[in-house]
Amino acid sequence: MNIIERIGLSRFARAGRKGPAARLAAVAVLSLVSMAASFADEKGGTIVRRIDELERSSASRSVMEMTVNPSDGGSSRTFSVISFEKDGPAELSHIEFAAPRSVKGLRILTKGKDSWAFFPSTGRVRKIAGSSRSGSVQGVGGDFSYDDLGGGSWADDYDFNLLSETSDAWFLEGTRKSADSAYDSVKLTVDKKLELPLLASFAKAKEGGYYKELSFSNHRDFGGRIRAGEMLMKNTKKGSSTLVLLEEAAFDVALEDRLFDPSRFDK
Amino acid sequence: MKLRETLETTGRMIARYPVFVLAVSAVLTALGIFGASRLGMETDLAKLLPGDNPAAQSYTAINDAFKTSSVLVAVVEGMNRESTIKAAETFSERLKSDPRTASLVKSTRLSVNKEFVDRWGLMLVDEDDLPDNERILRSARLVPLLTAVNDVMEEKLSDGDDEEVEGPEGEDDATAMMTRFALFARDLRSAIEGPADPVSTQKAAEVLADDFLVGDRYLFDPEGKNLLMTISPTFDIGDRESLLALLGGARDIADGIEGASFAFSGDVASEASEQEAINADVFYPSIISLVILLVLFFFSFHNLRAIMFATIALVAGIVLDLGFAAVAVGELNMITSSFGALLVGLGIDFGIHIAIRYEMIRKSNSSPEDAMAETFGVIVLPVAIGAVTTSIAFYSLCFSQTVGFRQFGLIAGTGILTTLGAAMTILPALLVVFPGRQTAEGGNGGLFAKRRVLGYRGVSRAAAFSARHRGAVLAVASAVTVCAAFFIPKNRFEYDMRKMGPQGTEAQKTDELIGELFGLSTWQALATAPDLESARELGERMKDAPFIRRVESLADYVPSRTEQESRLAIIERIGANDRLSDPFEWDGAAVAILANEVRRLEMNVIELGDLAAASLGEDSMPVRSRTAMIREIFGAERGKSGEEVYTRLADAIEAGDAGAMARRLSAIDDDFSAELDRRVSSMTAGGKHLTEGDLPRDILDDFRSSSGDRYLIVAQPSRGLSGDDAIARFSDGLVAVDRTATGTLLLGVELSREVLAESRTFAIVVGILILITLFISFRSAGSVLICVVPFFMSIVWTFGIYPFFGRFGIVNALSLPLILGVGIDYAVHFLSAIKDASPSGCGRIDLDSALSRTGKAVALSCLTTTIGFGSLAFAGRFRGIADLGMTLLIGITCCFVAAVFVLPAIESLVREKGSRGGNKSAAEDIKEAI
Repeated sequence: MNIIERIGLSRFARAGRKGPAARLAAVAVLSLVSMAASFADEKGGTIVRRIDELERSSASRSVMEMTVNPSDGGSSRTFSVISFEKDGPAELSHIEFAAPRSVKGLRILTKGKDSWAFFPSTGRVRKIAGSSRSGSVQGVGGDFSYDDLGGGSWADDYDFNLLSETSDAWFLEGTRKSADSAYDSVKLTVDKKLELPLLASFAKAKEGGYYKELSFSNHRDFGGRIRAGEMLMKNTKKGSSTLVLLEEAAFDVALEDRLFDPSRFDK
Repeated sequence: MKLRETLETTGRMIARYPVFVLAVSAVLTALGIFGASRLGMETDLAKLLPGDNPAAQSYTAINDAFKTSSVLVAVVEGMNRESTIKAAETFSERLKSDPRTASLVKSTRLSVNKEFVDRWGLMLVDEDDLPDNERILRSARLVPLLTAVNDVMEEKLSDGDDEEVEGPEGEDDATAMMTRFALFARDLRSAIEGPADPVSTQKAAEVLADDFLVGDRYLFDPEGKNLLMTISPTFDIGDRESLLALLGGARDIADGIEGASFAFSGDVASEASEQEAINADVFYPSIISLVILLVLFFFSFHNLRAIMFATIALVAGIVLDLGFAAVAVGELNMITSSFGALLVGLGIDFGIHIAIRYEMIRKSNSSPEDAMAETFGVIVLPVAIGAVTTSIAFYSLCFSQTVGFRQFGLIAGTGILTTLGAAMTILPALLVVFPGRQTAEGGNGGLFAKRRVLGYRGVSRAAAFSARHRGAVLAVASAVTVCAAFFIPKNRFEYDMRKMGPQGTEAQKTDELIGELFGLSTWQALATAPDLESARELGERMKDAPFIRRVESLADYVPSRTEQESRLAIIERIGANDRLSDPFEWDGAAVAILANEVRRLEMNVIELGDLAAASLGEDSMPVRSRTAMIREIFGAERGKSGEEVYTRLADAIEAGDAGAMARRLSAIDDDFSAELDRRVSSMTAGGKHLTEGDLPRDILDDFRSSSGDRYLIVAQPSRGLSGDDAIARFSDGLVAVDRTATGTLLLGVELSREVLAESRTFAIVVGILILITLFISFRSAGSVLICVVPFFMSIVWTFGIYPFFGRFGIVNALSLPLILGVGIDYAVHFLSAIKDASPSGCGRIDLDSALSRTGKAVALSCLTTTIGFGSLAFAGRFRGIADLGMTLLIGITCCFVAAVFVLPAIESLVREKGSRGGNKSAAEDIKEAI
């Protein structure tokens, strides 16, 4: 233990910032997020529009479990969350932790760039300022960064090309459109039959190329829609991984307004 | 034929001049004992690696430059925090003053150096955090101070910054912060409830100011029960005498301190455990195997004197080898320490073969000289072939790049020859000098004359059975081989040196305890830099390496010039604040405000704990600290109460008459604010830059070499570092950052890789050497094939079975060349016996009869060898050595089974096919081969 750690009068500050909870919300959204993408070529565009169409929902409710396997060999931690999503001009998401016991009842409301956290342990609601979406979600979201799949559209961030195809899949590569894009390039493998992504790989020059892989598997019917039951994000450089299991999902459901009201979402 | 005559003559000469032989042997043995008494022990991994290995060179250089890179870690647990601190301080003082340990202790690190922190505390705060300090320290009064702390905390909780409670640094920071405020709350309540006289109030105020500014000066676990302290020795870890003296002295001193328990870990304690285990692994398995062998011989030989003489010859052979080892290498190490038990198992075989054959020949009433000549003529050649192949297997290791392997090859190879030499000289001489009274069975009569002696006929019968049912036997053997081959890829190599040493030691248990309590590993990775700025830069890069929890160097204590300039500007502003300018009016309302701020602080700490639970896990240190200092919290539910430091403080503030409390708090606040102001003024005074010269001596000595030209960087891995892949990634990650990064774990990985690569190479070399030896011995490709096929099967079985019993590591990687060298002997003996047998006219051989003598000798040989290895497997405390024993136990057993069942089946098949070929009879083939 060095002296700095003992003395840093305000270093607690690091512990209390928005990141973890808000980013978990982004991860929770993962399974529901629209995989819309814009493709540089017409065929790619058609594919992405179809994916977009299949994934779009006016309102949804889902239950998922996330297991974070840290790269330092520490013990895994698993969370269960209930997620509510509503389509609209601004991102509307409400996440409630169901497990583990220590964080049960913790809720995160996100409206566009603003977030609020409700701590059941103290009964307080705290407004969380807008955050950078490019940071890592290593703390809570494991290997998912906020921008990985955090509600944005592939098409907004990347120009896609159809690289090749087989009888079963399309292989696409997207390059960043703007400085705001989280990655320099992204590769997608899309199942032709399901018309859903099976694998997404993410690259950054400063990370030495492709370093993260998100695989989608165990596709099954959730409320009349096919979704991946398992999503595994691996950081091949660090050796960590995060598994998200979608347990329940319902789409185009009626959701109470209070869920997205900062003054009532904790009730 | 000339060779046989020479051997017969040798046997006859020994039988004719036995006293002379024994006299010469006694002199040589005495010399061996003299040499053996000077044999030392070496557990330094760096000395087992090739001299040009960067990690080994770096390790040695660090030990030279810093006197030692080692540390003794003590975990202290008393009745409560105060008694624990007192016990640890007493221990530290006694350690430095006790004549047994004073000269062995360079420094002890128990708490943060007070003078240094009081002067430079603010300079060591991150520049990003200093503005918050500036805000908080605008007033030194209790209420404004706590209000400012809460404001800053809540802002930080809501600022949307990217930083989280994540990673080791975040975990440590959050825990340290929680501890600091918990101590402050606890001590404020003590001040309120304690004596109100001015002296006590002033003393309480000093403690409160210290709590607020510095927090916990000691390294306690999050529950505040166990304290960690480190002791740097003055000696290199290779200094065994000092090592054991320091640990022994520390244990004695700890035992003399009442009311607290001490547990020790770190390199010093681990090395001491290894030392004890090595001594035990040389001694106990050898004794155990010797005792079991004596029992085995008791029921295997008519002539008990022969057993005793074979054992005497064996001991003399081993002593000679020990003497040789003392001269040749000087020290035993983790790899070479197992040779004693191996030689007991391997070397006794030579005596068994000679004693059994001599006993049988003597039954025919031959004279001792004739019997010995015939014994030498018949049995010494195959025995010598076996010994030479084994010896070659060992000696081939002398070409290794790895020092440990070279030494093992040299000692063990020579040991085979010295035990063979002793069996060929001392044993025959003793048998002749002390013939005893011969019974009809060849025994000596006497007390044990009527015991039942085992004939081991089952071996020859099994071989005969296999020859008769060769089709079925070969089919089963082939099926087993295919099945075993399936499991060969499941073999794993252990890179983690922590798992190679003795298991279940105090040091290991303490290491696990430290991992659980503090999230730390006592195993360190080390690197050096030529100057402070290079150390800073290297330390930062090492933090990004996989599995690193903490990196420490002198740079942590001396910020860079640029950092200091920026910090000084803020520190100057903090110093300029008049923290006492606003007199705070203490009345009933102020008391209520303070109680509210305390409750607000509790809520902030609870929310911080919630985020830590979400990002670091429920068992993370901030959550454990929250549970201990406040209570268990499960969302909206309250679990078991902890210390409830904030609630109890708030309750204490609100208890009784508000006016009286206001007066009491006013007195405390006056002293506290004055003390805090004094301390902050001290930290902000002068506007001086912090230099290496300002550092406490112990910190400087720990991280800068005495010559001042090397700066040490120490990296501690996370406690989750385990498993092959993780260890390899940890090592590779650090080496990628700095090629000369070193430390026990890194050296272990380096050594493992060297050993793994070399054991593969040497297995091939030994295999080729064995083939050549076999061909020279039998001069028949067919015979070589008959030996090699079952032998190959047994190797496949061995490596197919072993994954169910353990892993390979730097020690038992030796096993393949050894199994090749030892296991082939059985096939050689069996085939030689079959070839010696006279075939019937139709080419048939009565295997039961042909192998009756060799079967017993080979079975006994196998039993003795497996007993030798088995004693290592089951009695060896050193995991690596026990694994070696298990590998060889399985390997030798498989070789024996293959020789008994598969070889006769193949031999009979080949012989029958040869017979059908009609060119030459199998008998002619065999005769030619012989």
